[in-house]
Amino acid sequence: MLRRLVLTVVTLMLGVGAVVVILAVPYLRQLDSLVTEKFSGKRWDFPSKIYSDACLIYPGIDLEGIGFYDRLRRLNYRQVPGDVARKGDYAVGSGAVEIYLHDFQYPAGPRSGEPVRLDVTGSTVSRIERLPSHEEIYTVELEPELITGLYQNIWEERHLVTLDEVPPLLVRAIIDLEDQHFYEHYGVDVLGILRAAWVNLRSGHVVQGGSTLTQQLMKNFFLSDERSLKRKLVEAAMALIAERRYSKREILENYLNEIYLGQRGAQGIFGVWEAAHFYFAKPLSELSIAEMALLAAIIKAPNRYSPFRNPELALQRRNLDLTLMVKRGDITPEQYDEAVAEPLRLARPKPAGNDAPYFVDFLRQELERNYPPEVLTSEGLRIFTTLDMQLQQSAEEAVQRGLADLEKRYKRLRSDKPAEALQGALIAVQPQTGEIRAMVGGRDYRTSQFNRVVQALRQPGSVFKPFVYLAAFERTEHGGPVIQPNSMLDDEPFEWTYDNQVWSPANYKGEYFGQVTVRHALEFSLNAATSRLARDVGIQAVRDVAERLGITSPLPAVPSLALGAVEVSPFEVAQAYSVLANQGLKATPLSVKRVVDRSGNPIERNPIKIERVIDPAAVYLVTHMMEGVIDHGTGQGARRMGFTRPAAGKTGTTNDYRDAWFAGFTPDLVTVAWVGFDQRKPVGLAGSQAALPIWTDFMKQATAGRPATPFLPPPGVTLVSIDEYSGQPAPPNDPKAIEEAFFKGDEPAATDSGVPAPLVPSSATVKDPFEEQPPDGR
Amino acid sequence: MGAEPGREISAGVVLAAMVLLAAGCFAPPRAKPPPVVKVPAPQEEAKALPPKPPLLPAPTPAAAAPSLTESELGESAPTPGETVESQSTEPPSMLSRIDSNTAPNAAAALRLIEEGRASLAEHAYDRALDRFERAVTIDPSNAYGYYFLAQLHYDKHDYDQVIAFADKAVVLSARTDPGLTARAYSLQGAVYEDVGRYPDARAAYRKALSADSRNLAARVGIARLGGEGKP
Repeated sequence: MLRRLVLTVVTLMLGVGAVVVILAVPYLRQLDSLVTEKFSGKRWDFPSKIYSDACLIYPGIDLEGIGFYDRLRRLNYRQVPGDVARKGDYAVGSGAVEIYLHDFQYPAGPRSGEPVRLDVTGSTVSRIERLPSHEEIYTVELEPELITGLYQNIWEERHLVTLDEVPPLLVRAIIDLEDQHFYEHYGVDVLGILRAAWVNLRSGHVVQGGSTLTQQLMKNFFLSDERSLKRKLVEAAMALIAERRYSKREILENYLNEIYLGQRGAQGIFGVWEAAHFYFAKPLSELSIAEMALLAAIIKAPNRYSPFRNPELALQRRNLDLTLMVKRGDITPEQYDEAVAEPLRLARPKPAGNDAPYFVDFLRQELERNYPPEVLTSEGLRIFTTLDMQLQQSAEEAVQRGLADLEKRYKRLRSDKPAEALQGALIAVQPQTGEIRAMVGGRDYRTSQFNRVVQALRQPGSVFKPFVYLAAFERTEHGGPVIQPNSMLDDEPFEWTYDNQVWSPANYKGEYFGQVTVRHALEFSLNAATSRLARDVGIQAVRDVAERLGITSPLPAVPSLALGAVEVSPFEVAQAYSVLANQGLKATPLSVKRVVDRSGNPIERNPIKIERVIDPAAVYLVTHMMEGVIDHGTGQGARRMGFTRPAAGKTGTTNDYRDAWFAGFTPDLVTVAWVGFDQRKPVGLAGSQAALPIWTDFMKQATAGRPATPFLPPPGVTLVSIDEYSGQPAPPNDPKAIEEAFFKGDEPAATDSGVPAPLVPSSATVKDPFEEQPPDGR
Repeated sequence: MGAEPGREISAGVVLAAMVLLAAGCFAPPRAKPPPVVKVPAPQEEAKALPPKPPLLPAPTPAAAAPSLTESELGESAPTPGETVESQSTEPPSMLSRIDSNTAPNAAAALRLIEEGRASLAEHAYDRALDRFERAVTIDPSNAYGYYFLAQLHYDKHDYDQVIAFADKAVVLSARTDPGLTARAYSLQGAVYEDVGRYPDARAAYRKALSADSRNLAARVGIARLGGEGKP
C-alpha cells in the first residue's frame, strides 16, 4: 500500500517534472541561443586600434617646441614632485626631466618601460641617459598615441583585453570580494546564497550578495536593473547554461571586459581596462596592489563607491578587499601594509580626446582596399600610422583660428547655416618619406564629414605656376633654349590663340610690369609673363610635368592650364610639392606604416618608396625662386608673421576668388592650406590673405623645436650673385645683389646668351653654393 | 696625395686632369691629354675666391656629374698610372663622423644608422629598415641614411628602390662626400649588372670612379665588364 503510494507520488512527480522540463525546453533553448550569441558576438569583437607615430626625442630637440608636455599628458604620464618611482611618472627639475616610460607593445617587439633622464638647457635636450645607471643613450621614444579604435559604431569607446593582459592579482582581488568560489561552482553558488542570506538576516540589511561572477555577467549582458525573483531565476538559468558551454577562463575574460565600473558623463565605464584608465590613467600592467583592490571594491556599486565622489567609502572598501586578500594568502603581510598605507591617487579628468576624424576616415578607406570592414572592426588589429598627434592638433587649431579670424575681419564671410560656413583644409606631409603628418579635412567633422583634403576638387590657380617654370627649366637642361631665373620675360597684355579660341590672361588687378625676370614673374605671380612662358614651352610639357609630380586629376592641355584653371585636390598639390621639396624624387604617400594582428604578428609593413620623376637641378632652380616668394614675393606675409626658417612656397588665388591657397615647404615638411566655400561662393580674398596665415600659423608650430635645415643645391647647380632687376652679375659686395641659381655651365658669367660681360672677373662672382649655406642653417 | 709637387707631370696639368676627371667628362679608356685650364694656384686665395669650374657642356640629367672642391680632389683623384689604395667596400663607422660641430639631429641620425648597419649585418632587415627610416625622418639630408636604405633594398633585390635611394644619396653627397657618391653609383652599377643592363652598369661605375677613383667596387666592376671599361 505504502509502496504503491510512494510509487504513485514518484511517478506523478516525474510526470510533472517531465511536463515542466518539456514546457521549459523551448525557453531554455531560447536562453541558450541568447547566451551563445552574446558570448560569441561580444567575445570576438575586437576593434582595430589606430595609433599615431611614435615621437622620437634626441639631443638638440626643444621640448617646449615639440609640445613634449602635451604629449606626455595625452599619453597619461603623471607629473610627480620627487623621484620617478613608477611607470608613467615624470618629474621636471631644474636642468633635467625624468620620465619612467610606460611599457609598450611595439610592432617590432615589446618595450619594457624604464626610467630615463633628459638633461635640458633651457628646454633643449642636451643629453639622454638611462636611470639609475646614468648610461648615455642617444634617442628615446615616446610611445605611439592611441588615436581611436575602429568600431562598427565609430564613436563607441570600448577597449577589450584578453585574460593574459589582466594582472592576476586584480583577478584575485575581484574573486575574493565578489565570488570566492568562482572556480568551484557551476554558475550558481548555492552555499554562497545561503551564507549571504544568513549574514543578511543576522545583520538586518543586505551586506553580501550571493551572485556569482557568471550571474553578474549575465545580468550585465541582458537584463534591466529590476529586482525580482523571476529575474534572479532567469539569471541563474543563464549562468548555468554559460558555464556548461564556456570555460571559466572565457567567462572571466568576458566579465573583465563587460563589468560596469562607473560613469563618465553620459557614458558608462565598462571593463577593467577602461576603468584603469578612467580612475588612474594607467594601463592595467602598471596598477599597484592598492589600485587593483580599489577597482575590485567599486564593482559592487560603482557610483556609491566612486573614489571621485566618496573617497572615504571607497578607501574603506578597498581596505576590506586588501584584508581578504592577505587572509587568503594572495598578498604578503608586507604588501598589505604598503597597500593599506597608499593614499588615493586618482587621474585628472581627461579633456575630450582629439580623434583626427578626417584622417581616420581617410585611413579607413585606405585600409578597406586590403581588409574587409568586418575584419577591421572585429579582429583587434593594431594599426600604426604616420600621424603626429601634436602636429595634428596644431593643424586643427590653425584652421579653426584662421577661419574664425577671417570671419571676424570680414563680416560677409560669416554664415548662419553651419553647412554653408567658410571652410578650410590643411595637409602636412614629410616629403622624403611621403608620410602624412597631419590632415584637417574641414572645419568641424560633426557638421560635415566631407574631407576637403582628398575629396574637394578645386582650382589651384597660381599654385600651379611652378610647374610651368619647371617645364621650362627641364627643357633648358635637355638642350633647349636657355631659360633660367634671370632670363627676361615680357609681362604685357597678351593673347594666345589655341584651337581657334583666343585666351587672354589678365594680371592681378590689371597691373603689368613690362620686362621682368623669370624670378620676378614667379615671385609676384604675374599671369601674362607666366602664360607667355607656358606658350613658349608648350602646354603639353607643362601638363607632363604636373602629371609626373603626382597630379592625378585629368588635366586638359589647354592654355589656361598654365594658370591652374583645372580642378585638383589639396592632397594632389601636396604630393606634387613634395617632389619639389625632395629634390625631384617622388615618395609614395604613406598613412599606414605597419599593421599587426592581436598577437603581434606582422600583417603589413609599408616601407618608404621613392622614385626619380624629375631632375634635381631643375627642381632646385624652381625651389630657389619659390624661396623668394616667401622672402619678398606674394608669400612674404609668412615672414611678417614671424616664420623665419628657410622655406619655399606659392600663393594661389583663382580668378573669381573662389579658392585661396598657400602651398609651401621647408626641406622637411610640405604643407598645403586651402580656404573656400563648399558652395563655391567667392571668398573675395587672395591666397596670401586667406590661406597664408593658416599655413604660417601651422608651420611655425610644426617646425618649432626641431633643428632648421637649409635647401641644399644638388650637383649641376651654381649660385651667382646677380642684380635682381637686370639679372646680370652684380659687382662684389653689392648690398642689393641676390644669390641666383643656375645650371652649371649656363651661369651668366660663363655664357654669351645675351648677357653683357660682367664688370669684374666672373670668377669673383661664382661661388661654391655649399659655402653659401651658413652652418646654422639660415 | 695626388698633387704633390716634384712629379714628372706638372702640377697644373695634374690639377686640371683631376678637375675634369671629377666633373665626369674624363672617360678613362679614351683618355686624351686634357686641355690645360688655368686654375688659380695658391690655396689661401682659392678659399676666398673659389675657382670657376671649367667650361663643360651642361650635364644630361642621367649623367649629372658631381663637382668636387680642390681639397677633395687632392685626396681622391690619382695621377694616371699611379697605384691607388682602394676604397674599402664598407664605409667607416658612422660614429666617427660625429664631432662637436655635428648638429644634434644629424648625430642622432648617424647613431641610428650605425645601429641599422649592425642589424643589416645580422640580416635583421625589419629592424635595420626601421633604424634607417627613422634616421632619414629626423635628418632628411643625411646621405648615409639613403645609401644604406639602398643597400638594404639591394639585399632584398628590390632594384627600383636601390636605384632611387642611391640617386638620393648621390644628390646629397656629391658636394661633400665623393667617397659616398662613388659607393652609391657603384651600387647602381651592381643593380644594372644584376639585371643584365651592362652599358648602364658600365656608365654607373664610371660615374663612381669619377667621384672617387679609388672605389673598389667600380674598378672591379669595370674590369669584370671588360672591353672598353677597363680603367
